[in-house]
Amino acid sequence: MSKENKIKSENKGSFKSKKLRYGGYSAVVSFILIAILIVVNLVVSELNLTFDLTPNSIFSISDTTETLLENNEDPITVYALYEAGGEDETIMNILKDYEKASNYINVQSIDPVLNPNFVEQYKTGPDEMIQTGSLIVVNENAPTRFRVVSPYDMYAYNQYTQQQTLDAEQAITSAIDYVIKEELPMVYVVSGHNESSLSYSLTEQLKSQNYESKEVNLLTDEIEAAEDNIIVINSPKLDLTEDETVKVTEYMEAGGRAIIFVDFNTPDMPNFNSILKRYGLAVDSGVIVEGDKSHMMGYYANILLPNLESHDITDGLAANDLNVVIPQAAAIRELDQKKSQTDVTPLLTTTKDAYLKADPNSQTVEMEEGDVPGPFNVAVAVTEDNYNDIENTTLTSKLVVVSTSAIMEDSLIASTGNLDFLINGANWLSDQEDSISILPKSEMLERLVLDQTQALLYAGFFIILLPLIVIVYGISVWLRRRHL
Amino acid sequence: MLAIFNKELKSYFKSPIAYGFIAFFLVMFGFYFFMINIFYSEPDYTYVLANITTILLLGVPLLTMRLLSEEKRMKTDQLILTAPINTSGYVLGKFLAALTLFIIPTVITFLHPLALSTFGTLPWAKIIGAYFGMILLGATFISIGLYISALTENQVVSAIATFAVFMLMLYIDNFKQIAPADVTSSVIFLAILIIAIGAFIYNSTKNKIVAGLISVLGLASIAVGYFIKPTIYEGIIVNFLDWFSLINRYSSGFYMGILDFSTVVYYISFTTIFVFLTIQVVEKRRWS
Repeated sequence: MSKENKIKSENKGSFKSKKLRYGGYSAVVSFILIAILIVVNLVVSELNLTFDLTPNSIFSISDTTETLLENNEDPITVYALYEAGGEDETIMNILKDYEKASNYINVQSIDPVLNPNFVEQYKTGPDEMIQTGSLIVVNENAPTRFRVVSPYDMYAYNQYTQQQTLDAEQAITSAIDYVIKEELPMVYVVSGHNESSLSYSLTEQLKSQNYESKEVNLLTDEIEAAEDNIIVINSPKLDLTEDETVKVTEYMEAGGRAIIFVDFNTPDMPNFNSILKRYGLAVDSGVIVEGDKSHMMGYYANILLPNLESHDITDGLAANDLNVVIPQAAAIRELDQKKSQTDVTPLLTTTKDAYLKADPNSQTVEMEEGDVPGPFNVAVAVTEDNYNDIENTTLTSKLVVVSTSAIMEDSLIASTGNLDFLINGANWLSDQEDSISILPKSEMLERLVLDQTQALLYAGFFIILLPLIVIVYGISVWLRRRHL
Repeated sequence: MLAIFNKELKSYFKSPIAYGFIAFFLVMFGFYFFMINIFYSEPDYTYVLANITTILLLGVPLLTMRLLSEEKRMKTDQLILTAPINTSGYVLGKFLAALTLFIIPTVITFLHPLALSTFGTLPWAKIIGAYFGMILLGATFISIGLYISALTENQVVSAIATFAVFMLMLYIDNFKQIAPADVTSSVIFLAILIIAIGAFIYNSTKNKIVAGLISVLGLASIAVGYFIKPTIYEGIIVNFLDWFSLINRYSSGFYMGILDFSTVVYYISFTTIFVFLTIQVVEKRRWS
């Protein structure tokens, strides 16, 4: 037995051995250090000290969102559906800023592949797909209030600049706004007169703007006149009954809001027309043909690109150079006789070269005898202030009339300002102008400007020359030292 | 410490390692700089910095392999250990020398964004943040390499072991995806961890009673937790692995343009622990 082993065997089990003293001390100190550092790390990560260094502050939430979060006291969970390791870091970093801004926001990653049942409970229909990369925003106080934000809602692609922009904050903040709102503005879609239902795109957009929509029958359903509720009368083909007419008028006079779509080819409907007349409007028979080539879509003289008149609804469109496309328009005429408190403002107008074709079946687009020359209104906004003596309050009624129901067609909405026009209209009607609107951010930076000579010069210097100097110097040192 | 630092840095520049490392670093970054920034006129230089992972993976084992193992093999460490300098100064000097060698080419590559700035506007805050994170990440990798080098006598073994550990670090986020999250696996994992700690204690103290007692206590507390509330063990493996995902913290933080103070503290803590453990390993040689 060697000496070393002897000492070892003597020391085995002894609490006085050198090994135990030094080794034990070293182990204890190591564990204490690790424990302290773990605690320090946990404390620091609670402080949430992060700084956004990106040029467009893409990970920082705007004041609009911060104000919304400050006023919220409902616990909200944002479930991020990503396969483990496949997170979209941009979105996750933005969500971190939400968590930082409010103690009531909690972000949780869920792997949809491992937890298929979790996703299942948030499907609203059997055909609905909730794809990986979506966020589910849930109000924990009322778990039935949730909103699924798809990845397509968070990234927008601008066809003109060919740039992808980040729209995540708009999507996430509206979703939060939706789940914490106790009552959403209602859109009552009137039915029972062969009206067409609202188009898919419009319905979806209303939903994402936090409107709840509901089909109503004026005879049987209660409709509540509140300043953020809107009734939609989408081009009825049968006239309203007198009772219905009274109900609509009463609704309007109680401070109601309405949007009415009319079409040029509908039969004469005295009751329906009386509602328009009540607000100083009439629809003339015939279809509008535009004579100014710069205000029609291609060669189609009956598809108008009307002028945007100045109004809260249209100003945003004009600022972004968006066109509203109006096919097959009827002409909306402002009557000379109307109540003094009724105020009619045109929103969309044709040029003076437009004319109203009295015979819609005419074979020519040229102006014929009997055609009425323009300009015409193709969309108008009406406000009326009714002073209530008893309650000493003023009730404001608001009405938008659009001269074609085709404005909301899915095929038109994709590439034009029509959807924005309708949503702006709904927001103006329901006094939601200050509703959430956050500009998308671009992740792209302005390109550098350099020519080929400069490029080659830099490449030569940085890829070849600089490393070469290091290598040559290294070899010279090595050669010199080899002979030492 | 300063004497060790100077000696070590000089010895780097007497061997081909330093020049090889710097040239490799510059060629690699230069190539991506050309492909991304010059060729595509991209002003964001952080895209180039993303390639630091390759440099760390291949370069750092070269920097650290001979730091402590070589002196151990040559027995020159005995000279130093008996000299009147303390172990922490000795280890820290070596660590700082390796870190300096890492920082030198890093600083040289800063010429790339400087050159770019004459052609347009650069996202400076993001670039400087990414550089800062890169140096911190480099420090953590060097500290791991330093620790491994202290454990072996052979440079090649040290380099290969370091490389293997770095590869594990690189794939740790992939392991996280397949790591089981259920209670049973977590309990087994914790039990293995406790036994490993017990083995470590036995290794450093050679005392069966203490090591055994700590292991039994640890296992008992796991069992108690299991019977009271088994759900606390859910996902513990993933959380544990999370503590070691060095690269992910860089790529989802600094690289994206976010300066997260907790990541800074994390990298510094990680480096501190490994430098400290290295000091313990060297110290052990003094008394055993």
